[in-house]
This record gives sequence, structure tokens and C-alpha cells, in this order.
Amino acid sequence: MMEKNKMKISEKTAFKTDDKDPPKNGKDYVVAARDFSVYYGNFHAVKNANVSFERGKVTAIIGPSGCGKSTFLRCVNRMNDLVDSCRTSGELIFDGINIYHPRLDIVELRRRIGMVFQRPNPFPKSIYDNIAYGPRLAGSIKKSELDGIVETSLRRAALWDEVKDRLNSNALGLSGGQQQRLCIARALAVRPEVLLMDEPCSALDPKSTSRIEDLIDELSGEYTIAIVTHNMQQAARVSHYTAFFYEGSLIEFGKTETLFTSPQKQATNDYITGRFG
Amino acid sequence: MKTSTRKVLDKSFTLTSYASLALMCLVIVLFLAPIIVNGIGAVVFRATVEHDKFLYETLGRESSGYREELEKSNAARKPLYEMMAHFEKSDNYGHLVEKINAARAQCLSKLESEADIIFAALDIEDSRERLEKVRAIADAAWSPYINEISALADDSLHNGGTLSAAEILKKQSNSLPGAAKLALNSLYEKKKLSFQQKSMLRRNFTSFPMSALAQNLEKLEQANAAYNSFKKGVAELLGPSTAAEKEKLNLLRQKYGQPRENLARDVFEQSVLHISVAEKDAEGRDVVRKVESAEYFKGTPVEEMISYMQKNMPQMMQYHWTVYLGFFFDNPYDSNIFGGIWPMILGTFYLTVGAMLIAAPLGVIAAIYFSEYAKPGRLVSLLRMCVGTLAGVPSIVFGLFGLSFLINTLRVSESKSVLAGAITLALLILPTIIKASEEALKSVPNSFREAALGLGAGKWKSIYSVILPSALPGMLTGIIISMGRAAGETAPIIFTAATSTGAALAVWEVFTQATPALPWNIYNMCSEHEMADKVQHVQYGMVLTLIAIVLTLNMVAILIRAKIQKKLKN
Repeated sequence: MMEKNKMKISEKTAFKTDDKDPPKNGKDYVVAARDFSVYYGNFHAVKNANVSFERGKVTAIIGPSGCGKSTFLRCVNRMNDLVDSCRTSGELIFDGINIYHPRLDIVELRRRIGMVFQRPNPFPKSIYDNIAYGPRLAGSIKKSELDGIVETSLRRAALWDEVKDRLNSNALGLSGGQQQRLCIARALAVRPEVLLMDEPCSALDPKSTSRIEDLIDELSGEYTIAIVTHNMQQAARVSHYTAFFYEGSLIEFGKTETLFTSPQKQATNDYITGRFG
Repeated sequence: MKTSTRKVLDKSFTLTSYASLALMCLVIVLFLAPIIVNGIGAVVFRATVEHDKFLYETLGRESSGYREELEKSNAARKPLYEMMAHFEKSDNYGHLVEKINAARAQCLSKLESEADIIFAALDIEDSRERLEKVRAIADAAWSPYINEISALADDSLHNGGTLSAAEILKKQSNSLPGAAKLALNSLYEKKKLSFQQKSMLRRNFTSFPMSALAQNLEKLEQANAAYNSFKKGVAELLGPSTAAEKEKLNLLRQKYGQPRENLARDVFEQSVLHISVAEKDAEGRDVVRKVESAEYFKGTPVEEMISYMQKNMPQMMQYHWTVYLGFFFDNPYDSNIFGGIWPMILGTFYLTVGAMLIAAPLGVIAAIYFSEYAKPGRLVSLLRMCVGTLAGVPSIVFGLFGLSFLINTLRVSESKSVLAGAITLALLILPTIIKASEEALKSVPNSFREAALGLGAGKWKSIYSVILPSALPGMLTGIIISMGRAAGETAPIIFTAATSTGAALAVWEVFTQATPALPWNIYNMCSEHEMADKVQHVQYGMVLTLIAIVLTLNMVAILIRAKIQKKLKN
């Protein structure tokens, strides 16, 4: 019964958010938030945010600690469901349907919106099994096909050359940077449309950071990427659009060059020039 | 606080902790050392030829050099048995029987020849004078006979042969009254006597030698009882002297002598060098007293036997070091005096593994529920409280529960069975397993859950494929340590599974049969066993085995955890 009641995202019918689609300005938005709020109990963590991720572009979300940027990102694939006291209001639309629709199939949503976490979190399994985990979930799959997916994913994550000889060794034996790229490869293996990255470089050294940034650059175009970062230089380097959150509110959202060179708001200016944060 | 004060405090604290650690180690050593030493003594010990004899005859295992040993010990025992046979020989005094009978006939004939004197004495008016006179006549008449039997008794007491002397005296006391009656009858025919006169004659001429006989006989019987006590001690030490004698015995412990050197020495000291003698105390009550046999048998052939045994004990028993691994794999024979502890080990194994098979799945499932599915609420906190309470219930209460609910109400088995015991033990260790598994699940980083969910795994799939494997080492550790606890628990199995004796069970019998098990049998053998002080080596051996099982389980737990952790961390 449960399964039948679950609505596939592809059956857009009941989910269509009728009258007022977000302003498109001739652009193709994959994810769009409209007056989206998140509460932890009584705490209003994200206040009426209006942010959109354009297809094939990189959107950076910046802001000081505790401003709600990670909370917002984790809502996009409903990872915040793990927090009992968390509830939302407003609309968060993915591919034309509301992510928080009660009958939405979360598993399918998460398969289409992949996520890379702050700390590398490979499973304590072999490198191969880590990558194969997602595809195997989708159902039985031929070994040759799986091998292909593993190789493609690792190549896309620029890790193939480093690990091709030891696919069966434990993933926990990799360095921190390699582990994070493995996590990216693992997320790519399920062929998501959107890739959410929650401060993916904060636990890494500068060299690994620059490799991940290169990787993000390569992946953009093919994937829609949203990246939360503390590092303003990083946001400036990798993203096309930047959203600035402050104390739960979206202060400013726009093209990255514009936001960093001529911010519209005083708070944005103060933050990017290092007055606080 | 000043730096110097802080340093002093630091040092004194360190010192105290070292001291308490040292104390703990000392206690453990003091506690374990005797158990280990004595427990090893159950397997490695100085055996006697009787041990090998038991192995060969009952279990069909011939130890190396057994035949040679047997020959040597038989050769050493032969002189002793010969001495004993000579001592017990029944016709030592056969040649004296004629003499005694002749003396008796002579004494009785005096009755006739001195009839006139007797009648004269009976006619004396004064009753006291009359009695004295009659007695004097009887004394004179019987003295040769009494002298003969006293001489016989004294001779046998000094030179051995009390057994045959006692036989002769018994025969005499049986036949004497008849013979005396015949002689008296011929007296009555000669003269008409009053009833009083008749009874006076009968008393003095019959009971007079009878009491002398009885006195001598008592002396001899006492000596015989002492000798029998000595002989029993020898049989206990060496086993029955002949094969025919052995066949007649029912108990295995009577068929063989002492199998261990220390036991042999004890028996020699207590039952051969000392004997029990029945005596009357000042108030006339019978008491049994232990006396030194060398002192008691001084001057008799038994003294020679004792000194021979003292000299030749090692040859007779053939002491030698042996390793009896059968202690772990043999059934016990005759109240654990012989054989090993296999049924107890197997019973403990069944109970422990059974408890684990029942408790582990339940515990893990409950832990998964608590850790992954339960939403905080009144019901869950109630359930948690129940688990906590269960952990605090005394184990004897579990035992009673097993008896009253599982056996009497649910009737999982007719009476005690391994199944009922295993279920009871499972309930006992369930809280521990739940707690340990829950901790293990909680220690799995949340990032694993997020990663699995983020890749589109459902809840159960993420638990099954990522969280459980990561929590496995912790769970296994908890389960195996609980097994150790189940192996050592006594109270729950008293009511539900344990018997003090019984054979090793086959696997299909565990559902209906009770079993011996180490913890219960340790208690039973130390306190309620009929031969508790003779089977000390078995007691220690079982304690050591149990400790070894529990420690091994804990070691395995540590190793598994280390291995899996190493694998997880590459």
C-alpha cells in the first residue's frame, strides 16, 4: 500500500505548483525555493529564502557560521528528515514538484539529488563496493555493467588513475582528499541530476582542495551543483551564482562576479570584505 | 594552588592508583594461583598402578609400561598377602582342639567322681558357706579347662591366629551347655535334689566356664575387629587382593585401590597406620576410637605387615608422573572418583551456545529497534526501563521464573532440560546483549547513515548494508562476553537444567534431558558430594576448566573485535 501511495517525481500531475512559477528570466532552474523556511523546534533557522539553482551551473551558498546555509542545502534532498524537530514551510521545487510533498518518494528524490558531505564518509568497504553501493541499490545489475559504472565514476572524479590497481582494498586506507573524491565518485555513480556539496573541502589540505575545485569545474555543465562553503575565495573561483545567507535570511543572490565586485547590500559588502564572519 | 602542593597531590594520587592496582593484581594472583596449581593437578599428577589398572580394565586404554608396572606391584604385594593369609589361616590351632575337648571331658567327668563331695556341700545349712563351698569345688573342677582356653587365647593374641582361636572358642561356648547338662543329669539321677539345689548346681557348674569363655572370646573378637579394620584399610589402599574378590564388588571405587599418590598416602596414614577400635567408655557406652595400629598390634604378626608396608609402599603402588588428558574427555565413573568431566563440559557448552542462539538474534533486533527506529516517547522509555530492570534482577529469580513459567506453565519440557535452562540463561543475558548492541549501533558514525540515505538507500537497506556491518565488532564483543557470563551462571540452571550426575547428552536430547554443567557440579561436588574430600582434584579441575572457558571466550571477543576493527580501518 505504502509503495502505491508514493508518488514518483516523474508523475508531475499532482505536484505541479500551478499559478506562480518562479521567475524564469529565460533560464532553466532545476531547484527553486519560494518563501522557504526551516524551523528546528521554535528556532527559525532559514527565513523565507528564495534561491534557484540553474541547470548545469554551480551555485555557491556563503555566509557566517550558523546562518542556515547548510540547513538549506540539506533540505534539498530532505536529509534534514533525520532531525526529529525539523519542519519546513514554503515551497522547495525540484523539477517542477514540491520536495516536501507528503507523498513524495524520498528514495527516488535522493537518487536524483546526490550529496557530498563536509567530512569524507566512505563506507568501511572496498573502493569498488563503495562506488557500486548506489547502483546496486537500484536493483540487480550485471557485473560488466557495474564495472563500467565504477570506472566511469572514478574517472569523472579524477581518481581512477590513483586507485585502479587497488579497487578491492579498503576505502578507509585512502588519504582525506582521495576519500572525498571517492565520495564524489560514489555520488556520481547513481547518475544524479543535482549534486549538493556541503563544505566539501573544509576537512582537506590546500592541494586536495584545489583538486576538488578543478573537479567541480569539470563537472559543471553536466551536473547542477550547489556548494556550501566558508571560503569566499572558493565561492568566487568555482561558482556561477552566489547566495549570501545571514542569520537565516537570504541577503543577496546573484551572479558571482556581480556579488563579489558590487554587492547590493551593506551586510554582503561587510562579509566579503572581512568585517565579520 | 601552589605548584609544589599540586605536585605532591599529583604524586600521591599516582601512588594511590599504583598501590590499588598492585593490590588487585596480588588478590588475583592469590586467588588464581591455588586454582591453577590444583586444577592442573587434575590432569598432571603422580599416579599409582591402580590408575592405569582402571584405565586398562574399564576404558580399555593401556598406558605405556602398564604391564611391567603391574608385575612389579604384584611382586611387591605378594609377601604382604602371604603374611595376611598366614595370619588368617583357620587351622592354626587345629591340634589344640583335641586337647581342649579332652580337658573339658575330664572336668565333666569330675562331676561324677566327686558327686559325694558335691552332695555334701549342698547339704551345708548356712547358705553363704554352702555357696562358697560349691564355688570352690567348681573352680577346682574347671580350672584345667579354663587354663587351656586362656592359654589358647593368650597365645593367639601374641602370635596371630586370633581368627581361628575365636572359632574354637565359639564352638566351645556352643557345645558346652549341652555337655554340662548331660553331666548334671547323671548327677540328678543319683540323688533326689530340690529345685533350688539343681539351679545352684547348674549356675555354678555351667555358667562358670561359660563366663570364662565369653571373656576370652571378647578379647579375641576385639583383636579380630582391629585386624579387620586394618585389612579394610589395606583393601582401600591396594584394592581387592584377588580377582575373585573383585568380581563380587559392585562399586568401582571398591574394585580399585587409590589412583593418586596423595590419596594413597592419606589412606595409608588414616586407615592403615591408624585403625578404629570399638571400646566402652567410663559410662559403659560404645565408642569408636582411632588408635595407632603399630602400637595396637605391637608384638603380633600384624606389626610385621605394617612395617613391611611402610617399607614397600612405593613398590606396591608404583608411583609415577602421568598426564591424564582424559580428564576432559572421559565420563565420570562412580561419583567422580574415577574418570573425567566430559558431561559437565558438554552440558556447559550446550547451555551457553543455546542461550546465545536464543538471546543474540532477539537482542540485536531489540537493539536495532531502540537505536534506529524508536521515536522517543513514553512507550520507548518504559521499554528501556524494563530492559534496565531485567539487567538488575538477581539470577536466582530468573531460575525460579524458568521453573515456574517455562517448565510448569509453558511445559517446554517435562522437567528440567537443557532447553529450559538455555531459555532462562538467554533471558538473563538479553539485557547485556541489547545494551552492548545498542552502544555498538550508536557508535556507528551518523555520516554512514547519511551517506547511505543520500545514495538512495531505504532505512532497512542502510541498516542492513552499512550500519550492521560497522556495528558488528561491538555486537560480537557483547554477545561473546555474555556467553562467558552464561557459562558461569549457577542459580538459573539449578531449577531449570542441572543435575548432579548424568551422562553426556546427544544434541537431540537437549530438548528433553537435564544435564550436568560445570558451575552447578562445582557447587555440588564441594558441598553435597558424598566423597567431597576425596575428589578435590576434580573440584579444582572443574573450576580451572570453567575459568579457562570464560577467559577463552573473552579472549576470542577481544581478538574478533581487534581483527574486525583492523579490517574496517584497513
